[in-house]
Amino acid sequence: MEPAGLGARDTLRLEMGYPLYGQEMDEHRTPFEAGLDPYVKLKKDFIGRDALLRQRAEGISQGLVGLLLEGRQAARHGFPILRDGVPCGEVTSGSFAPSLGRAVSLGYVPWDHRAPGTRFEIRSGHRALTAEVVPLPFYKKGTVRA
Amino acid sequence: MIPKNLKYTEEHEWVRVEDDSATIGISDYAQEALGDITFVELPEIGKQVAQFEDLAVIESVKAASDIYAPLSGKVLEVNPALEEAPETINQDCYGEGWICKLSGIVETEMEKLLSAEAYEKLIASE
Repeated sequence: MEPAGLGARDTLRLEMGYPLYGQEMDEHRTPFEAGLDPYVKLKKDFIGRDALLRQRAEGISQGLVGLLLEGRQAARHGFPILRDGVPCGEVTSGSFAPSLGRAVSLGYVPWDHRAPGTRFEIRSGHRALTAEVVPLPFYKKGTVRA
Repeated sequence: MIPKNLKYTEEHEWVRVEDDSATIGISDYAQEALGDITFVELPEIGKQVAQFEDLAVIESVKAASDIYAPLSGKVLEVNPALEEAPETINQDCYGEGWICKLSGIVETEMEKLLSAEAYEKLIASE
């Protein structure tokens, strides 16, 4: 056995593309935006059901995607995501992914630009990082459970 | 591990001066505190920096940390090994894991740096 801290755990969950409360999920995001539709049963009654039905009818503006960065430099929580130089979204988690040898991020981008292969720029201070939407999980060799 | 022949800063950089150039890196204490280093943003060659100004950025799984220039000077060389293997800093912070070299340094600025003994006291108090 070896000690494993929060950093190790966060790397592992991020490589699997699992959303974390406070990062990908918070009171400003609906389950639809966060890609959690499979866990929402609209046939049942619950608090927030009307809001979800309304959002589905009116259209969803942003959705959560996995982003593979070009290099090793990580894009972190809160970094702006740009398309054609215009801010259009935000990084919610990001780190170097040791299993991939590249940096990865989760973040919200415009709903209509979530397709794998779509390219964005992430602003990190004065530097611009290039990122591409990829299917989740980032790490495809499975877990101990499955 | 604090080599006696180097000078240090309060921000945990080390510097080794030879003639009018200086080699810069981070201390063993710093690499240990950062954990596994995943990326180093190296300065541009030819860039002029002032003492204690931003020089580089080191990212680890835990955090991104600014590295400050221990002395004023012009960036002469950067360690190319760090582009593909930034973990070299974890493995050998005083040797193969050097960050960059500065030329045209000003000797009088050395007075603002810490000796190995003074640095040892500083980290003992942290």
